[in-house]
Amino acid sequence: MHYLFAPGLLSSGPVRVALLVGTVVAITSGVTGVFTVIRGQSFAGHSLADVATTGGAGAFLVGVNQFWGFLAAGVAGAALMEAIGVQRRRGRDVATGVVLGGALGAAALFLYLGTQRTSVTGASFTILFGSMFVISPDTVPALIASGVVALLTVAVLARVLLLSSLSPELAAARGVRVRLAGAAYLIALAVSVSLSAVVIGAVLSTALLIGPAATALRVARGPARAMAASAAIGVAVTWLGVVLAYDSYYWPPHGHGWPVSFFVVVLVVLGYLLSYLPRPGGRPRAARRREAAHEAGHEAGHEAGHEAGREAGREAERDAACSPA
Amino acid sequence: MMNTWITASAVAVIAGVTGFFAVLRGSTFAAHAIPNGAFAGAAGASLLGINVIWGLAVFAVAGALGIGALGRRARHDVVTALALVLMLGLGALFVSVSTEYADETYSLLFGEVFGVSGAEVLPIAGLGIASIAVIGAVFRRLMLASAMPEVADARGVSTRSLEVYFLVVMALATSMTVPVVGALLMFSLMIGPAAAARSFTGRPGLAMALSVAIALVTVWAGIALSYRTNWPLGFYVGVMGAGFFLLGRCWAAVRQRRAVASPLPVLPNESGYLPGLIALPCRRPCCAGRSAVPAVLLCRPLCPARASAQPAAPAAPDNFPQKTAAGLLMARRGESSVCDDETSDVWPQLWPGSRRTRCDGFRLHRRR
Repeated sequence: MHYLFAPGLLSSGPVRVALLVGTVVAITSGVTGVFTVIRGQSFAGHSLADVATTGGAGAFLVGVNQFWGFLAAGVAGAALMEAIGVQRRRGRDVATGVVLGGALGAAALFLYLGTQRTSVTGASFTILFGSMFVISPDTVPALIASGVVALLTVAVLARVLLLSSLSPELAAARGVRVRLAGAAYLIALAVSVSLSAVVIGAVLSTALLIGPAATALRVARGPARAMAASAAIGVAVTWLGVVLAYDSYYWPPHGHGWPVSFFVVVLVVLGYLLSYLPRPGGRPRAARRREAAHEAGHEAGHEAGHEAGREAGREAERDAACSPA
Repeated sequence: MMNTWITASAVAVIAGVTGFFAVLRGSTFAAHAIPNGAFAGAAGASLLGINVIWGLAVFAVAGALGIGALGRRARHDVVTALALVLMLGLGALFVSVSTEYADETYSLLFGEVFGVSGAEVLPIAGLGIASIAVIGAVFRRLMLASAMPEVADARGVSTRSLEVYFLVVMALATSMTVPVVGALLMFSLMIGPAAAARSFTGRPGLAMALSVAIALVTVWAGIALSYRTNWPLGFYVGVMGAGFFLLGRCWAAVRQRRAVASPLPVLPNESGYLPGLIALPCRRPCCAGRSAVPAVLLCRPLCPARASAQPAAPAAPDNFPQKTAAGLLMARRGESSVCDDETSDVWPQLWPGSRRTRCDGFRLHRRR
């Protein structure tokens, strides 16, 4: 037992904070991430974390609490991306890229001015990678509150979002304001991502947003189960990562722990790759594909609108949940 | 200073050419992820004590191949995100183990373009020429596969291998310049000018030239300003890239307002189909050159100026059969397929002289 759980794991203060914060972030990111993956907005999810770190660097410069810098920059970035407002997927990525490019430029300036003033050169590294073991406990309540806000927004929007993500035409026909729902979702994503970026760094924030959700969408049936599975995977991966990182103080090179982000990222990617293994007792791939093709064809032939809409929406949800590709 | 100018110009050319295709193909995320993740390779190489270039090359090519291979079976953006975080996670490990590398993180991310030595100029200038040559060698095929993958498939062009080819070229070209210009600067320089250029003109060749020109102007002005104010070059490049994009969008908006309804463009005949793709892009501002021949037909219902003049024409849905390979083959034969009730009613108005011939799932309208 001591081999797996190094002595003093749960009595260590930083570890307890890391586990608590990691759990909150993993649940928030897991649930938000399902929609991010369905809507194909991984780039936006990653960029918002980077944009938020720009705000963190700016806040560091002005002397405001970093937390507000992250939040403000994240939300502003989301608003800008939405304002450029291209609905096609390729165009949306370009809009994201332009906002990201501008934000990175600003980050370069802020970090430069920051180093001019304080000569802290490691700032860029900390901002990019973060560290779970140096979270100050003061930020925990604010983090939990914002996580709850993001989760509530997603919960309220869930049905509308699912329909408008899978079939914008159908949603528009049913009177859903697709654009508004998308904008609200992007803001919720910005809140969730910028908060995870402030505590665990931009890299880990992306890993927890995309990895568990993509894995869950491959293994779970239905969006609700996918969200639950995604949160569960996220929490498991985070806990395992923290435990391994704590253990790694006893690994070579001695006296120097390996970073948490490394373990979490590797576990996330491993989990995703494992979801490609054939399931024991599962139907052969060809059969599943035939079925999917059949359902897709059925859906394409649906009589537009009205009472078929709800049914087709559910079917499309199931399709997407089964095969995100 | 001379070294800086030459290097920056070569980098701008690389960024302009690869960025144009990155924006056109929608692989913006890969353009961000590969150079950014390749920095981890540099950290690993310095840990092992070998030349940084090898680390960059290995990570860049591995990232590109990984995205290309896994991207076949899953969403591209998901795979790209996972590749990026995996590479950066390894980078975090390398940096934390070596402990002295953290100071160099800033310069790897944001570049040290003013510290270019004479020995570094030649490889980068050569790299610029080489990247233009390898892209130029497949220019037409890549253009076709990027703008209209279905047509390319129907013509027997392997879009899959072209994609991997492009990703690897982009990865190598952009990652090799990381120690000089930085991963983040390279990304800003790739996306801003290329996206702006596509708003200014609809022609692919011109857009690419314009993209290179805007990148050059950005870099030159950035260097001059950076030299005077001592602020980082990355700031000027990032802000000017976004500024040019904004300018392009305004230009497109103004042009769109001025657009007048013109008669339907002539469809190229069967033999002229492929040349028509390059030679006859849709000139309407609403398409902004994204569309080629079959989409010219779509241009009309999609065009806002046109739609306001003709309220009966609804926007074509996203799954418009014209975009499928079967639909394209029909278009080649002078037929067109419409499977949606709404659009099929509008179709004869959009395309005078067509009539309904058959109705079995798809409704076919044969052109005279």
